[in-house]
Formats: sequence, C-alpha cells, structure tokens
Amino acid sequence: MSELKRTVLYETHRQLGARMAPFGGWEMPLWYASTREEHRAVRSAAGLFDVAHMGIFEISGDQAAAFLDRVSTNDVSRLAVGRAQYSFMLNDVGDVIDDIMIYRLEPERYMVVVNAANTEKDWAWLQAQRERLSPALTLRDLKHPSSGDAQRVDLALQGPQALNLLTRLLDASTPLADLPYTGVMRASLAGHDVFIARTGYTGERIAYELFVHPDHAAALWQLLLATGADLGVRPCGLAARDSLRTEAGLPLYGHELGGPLNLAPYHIGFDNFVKLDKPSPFIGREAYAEKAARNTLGMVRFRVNERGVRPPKLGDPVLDRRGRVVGTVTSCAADGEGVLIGMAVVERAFTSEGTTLYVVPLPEPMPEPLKPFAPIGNRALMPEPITVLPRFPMRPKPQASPQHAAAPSHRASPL
Amino acid sequence: MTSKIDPNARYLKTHEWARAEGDEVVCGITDHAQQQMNDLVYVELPQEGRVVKAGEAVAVVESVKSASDVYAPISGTITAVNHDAERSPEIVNKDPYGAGWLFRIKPDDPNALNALMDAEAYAAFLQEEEARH
Repeated sequence: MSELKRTVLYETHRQLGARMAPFGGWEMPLWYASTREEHRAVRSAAGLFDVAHMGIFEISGDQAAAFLDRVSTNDVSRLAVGRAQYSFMLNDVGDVIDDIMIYRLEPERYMVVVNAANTEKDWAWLQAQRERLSPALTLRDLKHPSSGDAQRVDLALQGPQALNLLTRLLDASTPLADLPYTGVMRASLAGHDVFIARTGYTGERIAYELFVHPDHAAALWQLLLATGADLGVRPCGLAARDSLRTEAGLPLYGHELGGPLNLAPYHIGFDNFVKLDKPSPFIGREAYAEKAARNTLGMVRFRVNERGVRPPKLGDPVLDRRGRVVGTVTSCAADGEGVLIGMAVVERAFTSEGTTLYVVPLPEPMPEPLKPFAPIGNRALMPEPITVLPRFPMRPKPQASPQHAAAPSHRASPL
Repeated sequence: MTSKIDPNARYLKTHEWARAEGDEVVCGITDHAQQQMNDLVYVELPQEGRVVKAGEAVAVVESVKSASDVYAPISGTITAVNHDAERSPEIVNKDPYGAGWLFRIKPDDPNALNALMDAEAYAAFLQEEEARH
C-alpha cells in the first residue's frame, strides 16, 4: 500500500484534535468532537470542510468546450460563464469513470473537480482522450505546484450561515448574495484570492466551495472559523460529510456509482445529468443508452425504523416482506438525531415512498445458521424494518422572509 | 482531546473499565474508547448467566464507521446487562462510567481486579499511546 497523502491543513486538524483516518489515499479528518454535532451545525449554522484531497484540473483553449462535451455526459455547450454543472465521465462501454463538477471560469477556461480516489485514473483518461481528440488543448493539474499562482485546493463552507460569514470577509462591492445556485465568481476574501462557487455535497442551498492557493489555505481556514465562531460555524470531518450527503440522497463514487454493483446514473435517478441527445455525443453514449433501457432497479433513501440496531453497510441485502432479496444497501449513516438513514438500490416496484422493506445488517463474523432447539442466548441474523423516504429531502418553498429561508428544513421523514 | 478516567475503576489495555460494587464488578468501555469510536449506534450484550473468561470477547459496540469487540476484564458469570445501552447507545458516549455501563460480572476470584491497571497506570498508558501517534 502506498503512503497516505496529507492535505496542507493536516497540522491544523491535529491541533484541533481531529480523529484522522485514511480516505481515498489521503489521511483526512473523520471528525473533531462529534459527527452528530457537526451534522447538526451544517443544517442549523454552517460547517467548514477540508476537501483539499479532491482533484482539480483545468482545461483551456478554444477546443475546451467541445472536448468536455465528448468526455462528459451533461451538455457543456449550454454551460454559461460563471456557472457550474454536475456531470459524469463514462468509458467506452458506458460505465461510470467518475462523477465530476465542471466550472466555467472564463469563456475558454474550465475547472473540473473530481473525486480524490479517482484523480489519477481520471487524469490518465483525460490525457489519453486529449491526445486522441484535441492535442492542442491545455490540460493542467491545478493541485500540482507547477501551476504556480493558479494552484488551488478546495475548502467547503456549507450551511445557512455561510453567506453571512463570507459577507463579513468580502468588501461591500462583492455581490456574493446575488450568486445563484451553481454560480462561481472570483473574489478577494480578506485578501485571499479565491474562486467562490455556490456548490457542495451536503444538500444545503446556502453552500459554497472556496478554491484557494494552498499557501493561503491554512490562514483562510483559521480566519473562517474565528470569524464564524459567533454564528455557530464549526469544522466538520468526512464522517459528517458522509452523513449529510447520505441524508441529501447524493451519490458517492464506489457506493452509489461504480463500486461492486457497477451502478450508473440511471440506477440512482440521476439520468437527467446525462444528455443522450446533446449536439456533440459523449463517449459511451450508445452503450449507456442500451444498459439504461434494460435497467430494472432504482435508488431509494430509507430510514431504519428502530434505534439501537446494528448499522447496515454497503452490500447488506434488502428483503421484501416475504424474505426475498429485492436490493442492496449502498450507504448508511446516522443523521443529526442519531436516526440511521441510508441508500439502497432496489427493484423499481419497491421504490415508492412509505414502502416497508427489511435490511439484514450482516455481522462480522457471521453467526451459525439457526437450527431447531437453538440454545438460549445464541444469535441469528436479524432483518430490520426500514421505510422508504422520498428520493430527496423535501425543501421548503422559497419564502420572502429570510428568517424562513434560513430555518433548518431537512427533516426528510414525516414519521 | 483529553478523556476522563474514573479513579475508582480498573482498566484493560483494550480500554475496558471494571469497578467493584458489592461482591460484583461493573464493566464498560472507557471515555477514551467512546471518543475513538465516536457516536455509537449499536450495542450487543452477552446473555445473562453466561460464564466468561478474562479477555474473552463478550460484547460489541458499533458506530457507523467502526465496530469493536468488548472484552471481559475478569473471569466470572454475567449477572446483569444494561438494556438501556442497547436501546440508546448514545448513553455510552455521554456517560461511559455511569449510565453507559455494559454488564456486571460475579467474579470467580474476588481479588481478580487487583491484577488490572489502576487509574494512574491507565492514565500513563493513554499518554504513551498518544505519544506513539
């Protein structure tokens, strides 16, 4: 196994008392004090995440848009300057290489943010496609020091107080409040040159990612926490990032995309980010369309009905009322109240909200199968009832009152 | 982050605590252990009446991110288990030496606890462990 990489904020996390753990080849903060409190802070105030492990590429030149349209599934020709779009890279047989965010920074300059664990694979794929399709194109790794002043790492500030906090650090002429969802702008944040994007991975609408030079990242991190302390802003680790994105119904590569089940956008209800009819077809289109047409599965969010049960994990079987396997758990985490919430891929007949299904959290090691006259005290596999939730949490209608807009509203289940 | 240590309990290197109460011994996981696990969501406890050997895995605690066996600090018979901890595992996080106890043992050897680390030794052990990281 190769050495774990560390972000530029590693020492900062140690000083904050973070519990560190490996993730995608990086040694990352899992939590600082309590995942549950961090989860709640994002829903009610804001959380600051080190996502400097994410890969950041830059694609520029007059062929940039045409190239990106070939290698990604969304319609890049419709992406305006100063906006971002979620998309997928597929291989020749229509399987997912990665899910990505594409930011159009300038008319002929795009920034692509990819999963940390996939960075090398994505880079190799993009290089190969560049050589094949448009050798004149400039493709740079913005995490690499060779990109000089353009070098960037990603920090995420997510939650209702994020705008208030950033406004404190911007001069009055910077119109951050006007930045639409998925918008991106360049700004000076208390003297730090940043791209501020209204994007994220928590399900929050008031949510930003800050792309800053690594030499400025630690100072900006400290400044954000100090300036946001009275707003309830706190540092959040990867465990909260995972519980927040799970609650929001967002996929994680390796779980809801690719992974042991080789899941694709059509499995998880994300096929609207795959434009089969766009003017310039993407690599893998025919194969993807064929598989999508044959697909019989769908993704559900669920909550585990009871507390104190063994937490389900990737691979655990999902059963119907009669004990037939109808699907597989892909993710599970505890929400801000400690309720287990998860995602599973199941036969489409079982995806309606309110459906009761059963998950069998498989223990390690597995217990002996039950036999007649099993001794008192033996343990057996226990199917736990789960309830299918709406695919995404319900969001309140936009309100005129900012107080309402800021109210936490992510309790997904009426139960 | 510093963790609390109960001065009246004895300790294992695997971060269980054991405290004499009358002629029984109450056992649980330490504050350090619950911090390492973070928010617990599942606790599995032994059958009452089970005869256990010191060092035997008798319980399981799980957070969403990790699972950990809990070892019997001493040999004896399980006389009671904390069903509140099964129903609400978060009480183990909140009060690991009190309401978050896991099981009681009637010891085979009334002096068995003396073989375990006392609070001072466990504090030193935690510091050593910390220094190694």
